[in-house]
Amino acid sequence: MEIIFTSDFLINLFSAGVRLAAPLLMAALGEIIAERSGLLNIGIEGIILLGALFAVFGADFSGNAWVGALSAVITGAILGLIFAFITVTLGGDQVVTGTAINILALGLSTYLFRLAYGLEGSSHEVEFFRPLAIPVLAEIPFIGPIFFRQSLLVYLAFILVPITAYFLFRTMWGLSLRAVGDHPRAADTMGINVTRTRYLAVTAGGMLAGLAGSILTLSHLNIFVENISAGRGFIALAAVVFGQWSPVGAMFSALLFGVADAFQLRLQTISKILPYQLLATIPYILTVLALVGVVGRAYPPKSLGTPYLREGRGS
Amino acid sequence: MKKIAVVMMAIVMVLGLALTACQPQTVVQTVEVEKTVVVEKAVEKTVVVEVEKPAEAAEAPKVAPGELRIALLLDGPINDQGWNQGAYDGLAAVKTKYLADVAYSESVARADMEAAFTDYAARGYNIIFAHGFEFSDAAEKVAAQFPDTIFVVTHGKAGLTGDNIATIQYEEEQIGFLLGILAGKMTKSNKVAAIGGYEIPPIAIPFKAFELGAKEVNPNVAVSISWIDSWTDIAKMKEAANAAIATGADVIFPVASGASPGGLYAAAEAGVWGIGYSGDQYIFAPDVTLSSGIVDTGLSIELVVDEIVNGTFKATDYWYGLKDNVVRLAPYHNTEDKIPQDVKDTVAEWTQKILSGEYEVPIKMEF
Repeated sequence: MEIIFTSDFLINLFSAGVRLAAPLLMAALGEIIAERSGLLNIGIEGIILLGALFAVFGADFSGNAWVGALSAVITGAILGLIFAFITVTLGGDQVVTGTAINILALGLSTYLFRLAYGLEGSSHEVEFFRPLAIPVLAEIPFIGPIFFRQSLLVYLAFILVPITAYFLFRTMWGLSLRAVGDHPRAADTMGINVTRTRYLAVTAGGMLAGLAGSILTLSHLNIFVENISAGRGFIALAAVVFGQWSPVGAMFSALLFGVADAFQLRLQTISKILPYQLLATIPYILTVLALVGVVGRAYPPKSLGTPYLREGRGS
Repeated sequence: MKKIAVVMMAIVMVLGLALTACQPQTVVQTVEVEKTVVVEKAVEKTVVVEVEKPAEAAEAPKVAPGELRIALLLDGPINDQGWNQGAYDGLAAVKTKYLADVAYSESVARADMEAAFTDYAARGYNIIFAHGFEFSDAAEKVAAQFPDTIFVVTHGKAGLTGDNIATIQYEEEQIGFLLGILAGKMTKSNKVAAIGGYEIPPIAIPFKAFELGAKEVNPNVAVSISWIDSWTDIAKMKEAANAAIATGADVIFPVASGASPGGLYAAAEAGVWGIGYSGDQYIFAPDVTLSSGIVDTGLSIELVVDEIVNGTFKATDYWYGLKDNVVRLAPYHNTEDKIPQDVKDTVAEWTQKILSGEYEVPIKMEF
């Protein structure tokens, strides 16, 4: 057990935590943008999955990892637009639509993957983003190896935190977006185009979720396997709530989930004093505590989940 | 507008379901084989076609070779390079060998198992293979309703009741033990790690045997066993292997269906040894994969179909192991030259001991 307190162990643990947190963070940032506009997109699990697949397609057919990441972004944007069309233009139920996207993505990704690579596909490796040490910063003791020896996509996820926060809370566009999420009718009255705002928000959210998928297939690994997303979209949804719809909060909750996961994987190999299932549940217990108001009261955007119909009654 | 929304959502959902392999009725892929007259004659010459006698309830139903209609239910995708792909390959082999009419359903969910069995039986499939322990109860239930159909559950609960139901059991403790010997001999740090998908008997048993084997040849070795709770989360498997490597392990043994390659990738990146399972998985990390424990589920399916065709089929538990070549060690491939000769000799020696019955791995599947 004393191995836990060595600096090598801690560096390795937090470095793995950062890696595990990155896709959650990227997807959570996208979801924050969507939810702040009033759209609850639980389809991000499916978007991550299809993003992961198209990242591999793009990287494989072009031989360039950047093209892969771009394909993932475009895939996410298209799925975001589909979600927006059904929920905003047609006023469909957001939870049902999100679920439908998840089911569609699971089937479609399996089908397309086999279509492209046949049954031997899971051994197909593509060009990917290798870990990139940032000069000078990577040499800082402790912090360097943890944060500055990751791959480009991981850096991007963390760079997007202040950018998203600035956009949401310091710009006119961010203010409009939050107004649409809290009170679409008031926003509409003030001349903000609710439909356009929500379309843009959920499309941007989809792009980030798609990119989160590419972190799995182009950064952590360089292959695709069926259902590779393995529930990360839902954990990202939890990170949004736990982070109280703020990018910085989402970053800390994603890091908590990531480090907790890395820790339980390590503890399993070192000792058997606690059943691993118990440790694996810690982040979720915290999320539940956050929801019931122990960690801090969480206020979702007020119109979250409700369609805005201009001619309709209510909201 | 509302109506269009509902229709749109419905379309997306149906499309998704149609493409997802979780609904057996929608993805049944029947491959019809044209039986040429010549072949049918040849078959009739060699085998006496027995007429089914429903009065003899005590005997297992018989199927004439020309009338083989075989269905296969799987608990995962057919391209997992392991457990399910093996069965799929077996089905393909049987199809070619006996010109059987075959069909399969992938990723059958627990809730759909009974319906999937009933569906195939009602459509006249006379042999239904179900690939996985969790099919046992549903198979037993449906088998009672279709006495003329043969049900075979691979890795099924031993001793299922019924005259038309059998299980296939694998002596996986044998291969787990041999892999343990390999790992115990090859480790320099005296730490090896086995990482599983879920803590279920078909994985826990070879893991226990792995530990036993490693300790047999290297009393100082510490075997850590951890679980990732997924068959598909390959990224998590990679992190779990990284975690084991960080704590000193230099042989990684991942067993988690589609997620397994993650462990072998981590081994390759860190330059430590890896061991594959189910299929020959050296392709994922050719330079560090010592060997793989092959559980040839396909061959076992073929062997049972042979029994049925020969009229020797019994409603029993079929045990297959090293002696049947169903469970075996994969070639060393690229690591052939990196493994010292005395290690190979030790492995060969223990293989012989198990084959000759001199040694029996003292771990058995418990139900």
